[in-house]
Amino acid sequence: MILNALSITMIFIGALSALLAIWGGISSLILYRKWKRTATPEEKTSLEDRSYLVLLIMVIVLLIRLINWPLFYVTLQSFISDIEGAMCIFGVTQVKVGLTRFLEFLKPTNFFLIGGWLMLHVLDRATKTSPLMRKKLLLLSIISLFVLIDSMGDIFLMIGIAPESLVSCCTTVTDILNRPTRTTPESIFGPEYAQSLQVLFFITHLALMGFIGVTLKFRIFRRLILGLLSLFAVLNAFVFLLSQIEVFAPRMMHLPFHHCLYCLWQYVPDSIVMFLLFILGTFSVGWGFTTELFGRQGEAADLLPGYLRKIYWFAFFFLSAFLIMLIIHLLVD
Amino acid sequence: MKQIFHDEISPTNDENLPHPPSPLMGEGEGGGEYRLISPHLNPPPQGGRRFSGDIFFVFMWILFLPLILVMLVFGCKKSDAPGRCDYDGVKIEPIYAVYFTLQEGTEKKFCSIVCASLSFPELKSRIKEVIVVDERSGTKINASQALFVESEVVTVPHNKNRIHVFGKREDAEKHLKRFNGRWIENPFF
Repeated sequence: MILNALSITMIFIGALSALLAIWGGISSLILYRKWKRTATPEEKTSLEDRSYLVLLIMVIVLLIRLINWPLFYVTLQSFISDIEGAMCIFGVTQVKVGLTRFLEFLKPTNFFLIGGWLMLHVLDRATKTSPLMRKKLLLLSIISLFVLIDSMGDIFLMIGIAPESLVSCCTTVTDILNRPTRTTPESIFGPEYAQSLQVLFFITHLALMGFIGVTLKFRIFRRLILGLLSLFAVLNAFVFLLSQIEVFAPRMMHLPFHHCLYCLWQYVPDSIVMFLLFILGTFSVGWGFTTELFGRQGEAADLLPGYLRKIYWFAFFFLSAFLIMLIIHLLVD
Repeated sequence: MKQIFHDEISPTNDENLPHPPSPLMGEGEGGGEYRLISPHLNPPPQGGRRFSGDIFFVFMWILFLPLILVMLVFGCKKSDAPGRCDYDGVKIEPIYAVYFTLQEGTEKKFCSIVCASLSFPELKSRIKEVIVVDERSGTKINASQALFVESEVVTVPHNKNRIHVFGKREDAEKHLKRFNGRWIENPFF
């Protein structure tokens, strides 16, 4: 175990959120089951009071888990000097490959689920009768399970990473000729795949922004349209990842043969802001869809269009800010 | 049944009495029975204000633009540190360095034989001379005159480089015997 301020913080947050996730998950499941059955006004009041306490505490836990995603990478970054052979976060991830990879997939999933739930919570809070309360409680109990797994994973990882471990770093994996990020686009676009990938990324990204703009302009907040928009955002994210690894990261780092995104964050720190903007923009598109999916009920349905417009304006802003940062980088570099 | 908040009903403000439609009731609703509920349960929605996306977008830009610009100013600075490997950006240990002198007169430097040989195929047509360092004496020699040995000893841990460079045969043989090595050909041939 490598002991520093960040690893201790990660373990503390992990332990605290694991305990509260167990309590919050069970409580919200019980409240969900009781919500409709309650007969007397006294019972109803007691149930409401308890549900607001559960929601209040769980909102704080979920907000902490949102911050936990970047904190996870900051902590891994702090371990680099203690791991022999690690020159970036990639090297640290090689100490416990399976667990780290699992957490690297789980954390964005949790971020999306928590963000979506918070959107729904904000919408429900704006109503007078809380028509989404049952859905919120059920979703909260599911998310609590994810939070619990994530928190336990953090604790095991922090304890499991031994100092002085010998690993090989990104050069031996991300730069080999038969890496999937190269062979996949090369099989489609041919040897000059990098140029095509770059053009494809700009087309899909601008198209996504255009579709969001049209949705906002004409206020088309139909479930099918928003679902398709989310799927397109996922496709754009896939093209983004490929183009970042193969084209943009080497250019921004001034290392034309190196394709490691962790090294990019290390050598070009403002790329972290770029990635954050892209993630928030893409997730906002998904959050718009999930809010429409679960929020169209009772009184909340009347407020929904206004909230969807806010969410999609956020998405439009984040995606355009990311694009401007990327273009400036490419022009200056 | 319609709901209004008791905050809105005051003896001095008759306009707030349930004249349909109330601003809190939503469009198209009017008349019917009213019920008072606590405003503390959920705060009343901002029904009177309409969200303007354009203003919001401009506001977000005003808020974030300085931050983005500051980030870009620092981020776009050319980060070609003198002792940095031209392949993966790692700090170079001079004893294991490899240098490519290109036709146009510029030089590419690498932290190890591994990084240099990964870059070699791409730069081959532009390379005029490859310079390596004798790890025994630290002197720079032409790669064509150097001896290469692969052994159990790792020189650069992050890419597990096990290839060693020697200027003299006796140094290379000594290392070869001591660390279970084998002769390898010049990787830059």
